[in-house]
Amino acid sequence: MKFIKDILFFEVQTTGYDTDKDSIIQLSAVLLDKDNLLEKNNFNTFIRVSYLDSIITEHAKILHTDYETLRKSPKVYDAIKNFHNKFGRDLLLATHSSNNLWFLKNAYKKAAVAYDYDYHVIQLWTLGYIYTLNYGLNKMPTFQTLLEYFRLKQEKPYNMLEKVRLEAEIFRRIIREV
Amino acid sequence: MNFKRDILLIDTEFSGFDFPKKHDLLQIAAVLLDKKTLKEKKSFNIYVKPTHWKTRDRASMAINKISWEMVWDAPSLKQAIKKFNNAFSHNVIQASYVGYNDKRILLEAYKKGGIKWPFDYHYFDLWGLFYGYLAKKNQLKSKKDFAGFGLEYLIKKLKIKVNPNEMHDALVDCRLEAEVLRRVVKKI
Repeated sequence: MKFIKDILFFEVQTTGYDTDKDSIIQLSAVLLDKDNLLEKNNFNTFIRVSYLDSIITEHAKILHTDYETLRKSPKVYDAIKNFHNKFGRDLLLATHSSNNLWFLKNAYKKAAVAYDYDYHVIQLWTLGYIYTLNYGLNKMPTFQTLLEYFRLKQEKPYNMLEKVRLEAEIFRRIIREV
Repeated sequence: MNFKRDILLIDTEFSGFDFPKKHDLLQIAAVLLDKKTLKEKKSFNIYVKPTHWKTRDRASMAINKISWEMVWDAPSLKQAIKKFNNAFSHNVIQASYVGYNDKRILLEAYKKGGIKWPFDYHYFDLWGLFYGYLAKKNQLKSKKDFAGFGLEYLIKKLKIKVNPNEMHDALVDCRLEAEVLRRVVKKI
């Protein structure tokens, strides 16, 4: 197995499902080596999207963190700038579903940071669906389905770093077994 | 193989990436693939009359090879979207070769046409599937290959016959993508 570029799997926690109106409040990523798909770097940040105490408290609940931690977290501009600077652009993005990509692109727009990644993206859901279908799983898979299929355990469903690491593991297993 | 829904493979051609401000959606094509066999059940193809022809991007036009003669009397964007919207059931899995661009352009087109987006979020982005397959088979050798890893590359690898002059017509591309999908699905 040999990929041409390292693969950056990313995952987001958001304030809702509307890619135009809702915002990312946690951004997590793991960089996988192109030769062996092992994790070589990672990124994890909460994002404070409001100055209002009530909103910060509401978002802290979604993230299972405390008010003070989220209040001190970076704003979208700093979070996206850090994310972009940490990994550069010579990589391939990957994520579970297309909506995550829309959220990420919109966050770049809000942060006024140029989104200059390759326009190709690996979408795990497509790969997971076709792989599990051929191995007899006759349903439209969710992330949970893929976890069950590969007997992986998610300890903290609200933790996006854990989630993105599980996505990377699912990807590794599919690629290894194809 | 038995997908839960039929797959609607969509491809678009446009006069540049700055749609709808500066460029136009020029062609929408789709093939509906049977959920059990992946055989084509129905197809759709329409050209769209441009409103920003003077500001078309030369590089995009060189790829899509769409001339003024092909689009000057085509339906308006609103009419084209209405026809596309009525052509298929919406209870499908949408699919595109590189999903983001086609979906973004279609979403904008629906918005501009004043029609509510009728599909749900289930969407196949086929490029990543094909990329993973090629990587596993050690058929990605260099960054040059990566940059050029388009549909042509896959067609050559899988020895699918096509007239090179017909490529980048949206309907032809849809059918080629469908054939690549049929072959790769069997091997994964």
